[in-house]
Amino acid sequence: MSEATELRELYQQLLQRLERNEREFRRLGRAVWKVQEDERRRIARELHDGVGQNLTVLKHRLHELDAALAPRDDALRGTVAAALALCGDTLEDTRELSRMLRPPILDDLGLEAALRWLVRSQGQSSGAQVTLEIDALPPLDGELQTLLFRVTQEALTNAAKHAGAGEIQVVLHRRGASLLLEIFDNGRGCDPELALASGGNGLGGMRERLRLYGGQLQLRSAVGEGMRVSARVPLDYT
Amino acid sequence: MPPAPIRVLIADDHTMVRESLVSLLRSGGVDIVGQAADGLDTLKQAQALRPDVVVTDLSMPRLSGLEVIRRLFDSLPEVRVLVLTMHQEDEYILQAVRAGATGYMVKDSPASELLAAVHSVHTGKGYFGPQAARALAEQLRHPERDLGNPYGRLTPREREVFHLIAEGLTTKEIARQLTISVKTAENHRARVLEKLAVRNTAELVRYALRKGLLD
Repeated sequence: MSEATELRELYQQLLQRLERNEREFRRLGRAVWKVQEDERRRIARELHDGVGQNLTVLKHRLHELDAALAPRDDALRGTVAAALALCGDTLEDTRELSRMLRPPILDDLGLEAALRWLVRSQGQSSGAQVTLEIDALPPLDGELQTLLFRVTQEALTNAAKHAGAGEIQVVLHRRGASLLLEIFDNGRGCDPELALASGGNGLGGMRERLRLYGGQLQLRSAVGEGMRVSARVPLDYT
Repeated sequence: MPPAPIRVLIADDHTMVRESLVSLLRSGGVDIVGQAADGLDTLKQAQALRPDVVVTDLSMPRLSGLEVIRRLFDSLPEVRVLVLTMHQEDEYILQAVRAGATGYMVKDSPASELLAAVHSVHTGKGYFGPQAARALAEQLRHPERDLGNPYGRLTPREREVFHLIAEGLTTKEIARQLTISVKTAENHRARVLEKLAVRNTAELVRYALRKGLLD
């Protein structure tokens, strides 16, 4: 074997090893993220079904107590009414905490229902007009659904809270063997480099997560001209 | 002779909640004929007991509440279903009603409301709490947001193209009629087929017939 052939073979082996390592790195990254989401799901369920259901029973008991009070017991009736109101508020807080961690709707009804809920609730809380356009999607596994939901959630928070957008459009289409998720807003806009520099849960963190699934995140923005977030992710990411 | 009490089967996997509901309904004169803690057992007991009303949660082990409602609606259409749940989101309400539920309310509602709901559902009138009624009205106002309705996802232009295809026009004829290029008409046609998950014109016409979209 000539020296050149030998070198070429060595180079090929090195490349293959690099690719294997890269695949392994992505698999590990996805596994870490999955553990985190599973934990959130467990705590969210516990809040919703455990604490929430106990508060529900407590509310039933207070209603019974209220119904059993004599007509003249005005003072006690006031106390029970206050207890009922506190119980109701705590129940609502528990539901809200559960949704913040991981909305049960994502696991119960799937990505499309979860996105519709997200778009509506984000619109209600921020006052922005948020619309969703979505294709009939092929069956997606739980991890892809979570990924697309989290990217949308982050982009919406960014657009409504930080960029002060009044109109936001979410579009999810299938493009051949990939999914393309785009979020357009008419907010203040920002420097894409700076937005991507943030780690953790920000858009920078989302870009890292997308990479673990062989996907890409692109931001286009200019000050005063809104922002366009494009996430492309292959259907077969393994 | 007073009317026979309403016969109710309660399905909820949380023992404390179930017991609380049983006691609330019993004190209101309702006859609790059975209690189930999962979806499959709910179906089994419903078949055996033939209750008037099934009061069910949506989140249950072994078979989700939504699937329980669907199967009850198919196999025992005379049995009314009242959903009693922690979920308030519109998407749950719409899917439950679509599956065949006659009523929907949140679990922490007062006993008086729960009793009124069971009576109303029993007479076939339906009962929807304020949140559920609002969600249903919203759906009627905006049917295009329907989750299970691909036609509703078409843009106005795509709907025009859809109807022209269904009427038997070729892509060229559609382009002429809408004064757009043949290439654009082809693109619209492809998008319509993709959104409706049909492969060709014949399947599209069948889809339109099935959904009652043709005049």
